[in-house]
Amino acid sequence: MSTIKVNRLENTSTANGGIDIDTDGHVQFDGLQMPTAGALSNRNLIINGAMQVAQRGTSVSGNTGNGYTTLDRMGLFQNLGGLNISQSSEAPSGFYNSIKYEVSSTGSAVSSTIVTPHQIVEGYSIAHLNWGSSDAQSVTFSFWVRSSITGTYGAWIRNADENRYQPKEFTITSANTWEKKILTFTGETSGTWDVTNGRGLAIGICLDAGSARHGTADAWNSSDSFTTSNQTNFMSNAGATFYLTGVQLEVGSKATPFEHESYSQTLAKCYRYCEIWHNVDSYYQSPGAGYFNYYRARLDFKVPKRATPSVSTYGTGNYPNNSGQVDTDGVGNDTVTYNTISIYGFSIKDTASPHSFQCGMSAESEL
Amino acid sequence: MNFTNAKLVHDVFGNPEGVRVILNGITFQIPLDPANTDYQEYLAWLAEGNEPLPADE
Repeated sequence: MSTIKVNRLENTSTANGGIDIDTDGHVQFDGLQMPTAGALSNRNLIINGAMQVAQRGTSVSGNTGNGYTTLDRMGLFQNLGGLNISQSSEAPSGFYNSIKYEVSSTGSAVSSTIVTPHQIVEGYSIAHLNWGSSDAQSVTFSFWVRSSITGTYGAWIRNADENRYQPKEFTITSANTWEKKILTFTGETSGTWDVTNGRGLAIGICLDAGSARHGTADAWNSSDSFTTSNQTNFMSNAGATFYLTGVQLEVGSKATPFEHESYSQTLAKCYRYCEIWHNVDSYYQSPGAGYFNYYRARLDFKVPKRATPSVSTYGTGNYPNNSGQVDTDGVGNDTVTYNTISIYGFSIKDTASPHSFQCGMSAESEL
Repeated sequence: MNFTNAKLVHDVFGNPEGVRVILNGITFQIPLDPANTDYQEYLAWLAEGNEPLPADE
């Protein structure tokens, strides 16, 4: 067998396109990076990276704490200042949406400060990374970012036990300009990494952090290390904005093009962690008094959940008005309780007089 | 901890089935599933010495 050693192949009549092979042997076709590990499709471990699905709503004002508020699967750790969070139509070419964080009330970082959007990836989705073993695979994190505040920011990965962290730095060089960032994390050979339905890994971008949250860049740290001491203090700037979209995490040492998928594909993935039926979407005709004179209905989820979810129903008005209730036909809102909650659905129990009722529903099994 | 008004829920046979709470202003029923992260927070809340209201008879 013979070998042709070449860095580039191109057509005789043009320098456009062609095939490039870098010094590590990785290949680009017509400028598009090919994977260095893993499959050719279903590569993105991030769900809703194009910021399209927002079941809980498209905006929230003055957020001050942890949790999930607007765009599905996009969590936030926050213990400083206030943020307006919204789904935005500001986006780079090739995307239609982003998530926007805007400082609504400023704060000055203290040691324990942390403000970091993130996503927690389920264990089943990271099993092929082989983390915690000598065969641990590198992963590459790519995203588009635009901010009014230039400077150094941190990106990070950690495990569920919160004793393996790797922070990396990236720089926003131009204010209010979309920039694509690509960061490659070495696979972690130690620590415990869940590979079932729990928290596999968390990955995020740090907007602000105090000294107790700083660690050594490009290395695995054993305690809180979301960023480095060079972190920009985004939250000290009134009205500052930070947009994020095109978020992708994939196995291998190179970033491949963002893997766009249909809205319905993304929504179905989101349903595993959160399913909300907006408005009063469901209608039930109670058949009459049943066991112990309870009136019941069964709500079946569209997608089985990651774990038994926390559930609620909604009465009149849009989500989340009159939570814990149902809208009874011509009677008003009844407070109801829920039984036999499983990953597949749950039952509503109503002790009021026989009647039909309607409700919206929320089921959450977030990580 | 961001939930309030924790109250136990029993099934029709009187067995523990869940905890009803107000979570971020929304009434939820949390299942007794160790994999549910809201239940994990509830257990931490109990460990701090808090107690839920008893279930309805």
